[in-house]
This record gives sequence, C-alpha cells and structure tokens, in this order.
Amino acid sequence: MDTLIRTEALCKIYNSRRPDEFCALDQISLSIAPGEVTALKGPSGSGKTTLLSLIGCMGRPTSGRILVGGKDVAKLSERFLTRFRRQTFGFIFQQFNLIRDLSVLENVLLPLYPQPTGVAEMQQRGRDLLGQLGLESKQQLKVKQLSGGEQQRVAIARALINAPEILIADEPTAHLDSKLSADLLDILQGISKTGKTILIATHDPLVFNHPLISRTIEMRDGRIIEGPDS
Amino acid sequence: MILHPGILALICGSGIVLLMLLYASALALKILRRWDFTSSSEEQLSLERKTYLASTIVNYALGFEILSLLLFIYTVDEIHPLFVGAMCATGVLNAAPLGWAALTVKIVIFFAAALWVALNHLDTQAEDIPLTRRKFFALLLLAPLVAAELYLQTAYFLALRPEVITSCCGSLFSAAGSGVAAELASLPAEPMIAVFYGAALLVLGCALGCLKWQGAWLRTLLSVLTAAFFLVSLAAIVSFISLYIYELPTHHCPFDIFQGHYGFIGYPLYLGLFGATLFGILPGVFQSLKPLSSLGPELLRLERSWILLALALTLCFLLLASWPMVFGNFRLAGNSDFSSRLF
Repeated sequence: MDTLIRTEALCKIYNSRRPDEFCALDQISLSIAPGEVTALKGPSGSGKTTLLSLIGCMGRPTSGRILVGGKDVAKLSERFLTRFRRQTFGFIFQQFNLIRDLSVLENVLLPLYPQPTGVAEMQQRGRDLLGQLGLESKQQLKVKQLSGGEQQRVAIARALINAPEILIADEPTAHLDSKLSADLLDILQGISKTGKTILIATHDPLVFNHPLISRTIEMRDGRIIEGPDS
Repeated sequence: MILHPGILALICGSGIVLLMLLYASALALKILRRWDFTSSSEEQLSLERKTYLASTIVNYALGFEILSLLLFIYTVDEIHPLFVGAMCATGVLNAAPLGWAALTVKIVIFFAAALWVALNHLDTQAEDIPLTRRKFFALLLLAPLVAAELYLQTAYFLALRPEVITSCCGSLFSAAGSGVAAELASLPAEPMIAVFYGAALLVLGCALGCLKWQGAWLRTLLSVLTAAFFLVSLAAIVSFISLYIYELPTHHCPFDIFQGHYGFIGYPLYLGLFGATLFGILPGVFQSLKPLSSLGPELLRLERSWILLALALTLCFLLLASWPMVFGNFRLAGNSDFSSRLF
C-alpha cells in the first residue's frame, strides 16, 4: 500500500517537565494512503485535534516523526513548514474561522495571497469553486450575512482554493444540524472522488458511520485504541 | 570616562552581545556533543528548535557588531574636540592605551561576524540545516573575540581623560615619523598608485572570471586577491588617496576623511572597501560547502550575488578613490615630498 502520511512513535507533551505536564499524544504510529478518507474518533481530550494539528503542520511534536509525502515535517524550520503547509493542506475548522466583514470571495481567496498567483487567476479560481458549491450568487456578500450552512461551504471553498493534496477537517459538523451535516458530508464525498486525502476528527456518529469514511481510527487518552496499522 | 551616547551604546551593546553569545555558546557545546539530525528524539527536536532561536538572536547580535565598527569610528571622531591636540579620530585613539587595539579587534570582528551571518543565512536555506554544527562551533571562536572587544573597548573608553594632551594625525601619519603609520605615509606615491590600480584590475578581472567560469581555484584566488587588495587599499588611502582628498601633499590621515569638511567621504569610501572585501572573500571561503547536496544550488545562486556585489562595491570604492585624482585641482607628481615642491 502506498503511504501519503505516516507517523512514527509520535508524542506531544504540553508543559513538559512542569507540574501541569500533559501528554496529549503517546507513541502514535499510523499510515494513511493517498485518497483515503480517515475519521479520527474519540471523546474530548483523546488527542484527535492535536494529532490533526501535528499532521497538518500547525504544531510541533515533542518527539517522533511525521512523514507527509516522504518529507519529515517535524524537522522543518518554520520557513519551510509554512510553505509546505500552504501547498499541501486545506483546513476546515470547527468554528469556520471566516472573517465576518470580508466578502465571501475575499475570504475564499485569503490563502492565495502569499502565493505568486495573479489576481485575475485567483478570482477565477475562487468563482469556479464557489460555483461548484452553489454560492456563486453570494460571492460579494459579507460572510456575516450568510447562514451557518453557507458559511461552512465558504470554509470548504477556502480550504480547497490552494488545490491541496490533503484536506483536514476538525469537528466539521459540530455546529450544524443533521440536514446541514448530511449536506457537508455529501460535499466531502464529492471532494474525495477527486482523489484528495481527507482526515476528519469527530465524535459525531453521523460522520464516522457515513459511507464516505473508508477508515476509522479510535483514540482515547492520547493513544490509538482501534484501527491502527502498527 | 566620557558619557557620550556613542560610548554608552558601544559598551552596553557589546555587553549584551557577549551575553547572547555566551547563551549560544552553552547551546553550541551541547550541539557539538549531542546533535544527530537523523534522530527524532525529544532531545534532538528540542535542540533543533533551540538552534532556530539561538541563531536568530545571534544573527541580530552580530548585526549590531557589524554596525558597531561604524559607530566606533563615528564616536571617536565625534568626541575629538574634547581632547587638546586631537583634530580627528587619530588623536582620540592616541589619547589612551588600547585605542588602536580596540579598533583592530573591531575590524576583525566585523569580518568574522559578517562571515557567520552569511554562514547562518546559507544554513537556513536548506531543509536539513547541514551547517548547524559548524556555525555553532564558529560561535565558540567568536565569543572570546567579542569578550576581548568588550574588555579593550571598555578599558580604552574608561581611560580617556579630556585633560590629557594627545598627538594627532599630523605627527602619527607623517613621513618624517617612525612606526607603521609613518612607514605607510612615506610609501612613494607613484609605485603605490601602480600597485593599487594593478591589484584592483586583478580583483576585477578575477571576479569577472568567476562569473564566467565555475572553477573552485578561481574563487579561492578571488578571496586571496580581495584580502590582499584590502591591505593594499588601506596602505593606498594613507599613502596617496588621502592627499588628493585633502589636497595637501603632506597630510596622510585616514580618519580626517570622516569629517564634514571633506563631505564625510570616508564613510562611503570605507563602506565600499569593507563591503567589497567581505563579498569578495565569501565565494572562496564557502567553496568547501559545495559538495553538500542540499546547499549546492543555493550556494551557486548566492555566490553569483556575492561576486556581483563585490564587483559593484569595488567599482564604487575605486570611483570614490579616483574622483579627486581625476577631477580635483590637486596634482601629485613623483612622490609626496616632491609634490610639495610643485605646490
């Protein structure tokens, strides 16, 4: 099996060697193949979000390796890590993290600004993505004028604008009702069919029981308790 | 001691830089013993993060050290009216022991610090930071130099007494005097002009050759020629360039040119010379790093920029040095003693 993401003995300890030391991840080893849709499930505090943030180059491990496309991202300096994160990952956050006073299109284009893409091309890509997600008519509206479901779709468009190989979603259905959650999962299924690898952290049964999910990894207390390949 | 802002800034700055270097040196000792980039242990990952922090701190600290040479010269020139007999920085440097030693160490640190900054820049261009061990080892050599600078500088400034009568450039850089300065001043102008422009042509030719051909020996030659040209230029400034700037056949001072009467020409003149020397030396010094696969292409790109900078700065220096000779009213025939007869 090809491997796109592999972690080896990954540990993350917060406040190391202090009285409030907390081990969020303990010796996590896993492999994820290209195109796989993986759900990390477990209760709050199980380490799902920490694992996602480390794989997505948003945090640093205390020890261990994180190989993404064969590159050990745990070793990269901030400069290379930022570049790699921009090119490789798209993020969908629990709170959407959109800028409310910017327009839909401006929010979607934000990840492209540090890249050497021309403005015309950026806008074309943004409009195409918004069209695919049914938001073409709302591109000039401010985000604060949108409903929760529409905001979620804007967040998805923003995650896809840099054509990432890997999409990371942290509790994407936490603020959505059942209908909107099902819509979101249908969108993710469509994205998955384009060959993208998707990692979702969730404790929502709607997500990990959805046919979109090809693999579930269950975590508790910073360890994998079900579904590891190691 | 004279409470001049420049003096306070120099002493405090060197003290802070030394503290930073001591912190980095402690880390350097650990890196030399424990660094293993192939490992993903907690200790190694922690060391890697600390090196980013320490390198950034030291980079800025050494940036101050590079600029502090300029501040030192500016300060000793600025306070010269406080000393009886001093008409420029020479008099102030003569006013207390260790003045010249402090200046010499600051010049050495200027080049050493700039080389370290270049090494650090190169290291951060590769994902596998292949020069980390070397650059932290180099810090262990730099720290004693900065400690020596802090001592010499502080001892010198503490010993400065305004009531002391000092001798200035007129006696020190005089063909009739004794010592290195007097010997430089008494160098015959015509042969010195030939040596100076000959050496400049060699440096420029070698730099152009480096742009055209990739030979390692050519880059090493450029470094050697640039270093030699630096020494020749310092001698040339005392021997004849200063005469044309002052338009006086017997005034050889290399420091008066920092003053406003001469349009502060000393600053761009020396900046051109020091900059050209630094960028000319870099390609040869870093030749041994080319076999490192992760650095090779970046080094080639940087090397070209360094050579172009060396060329541009050498030309600037030559232009500034030659301008008064070509367009000034003063004419020197034979040597400086002979020229006085012409005037």
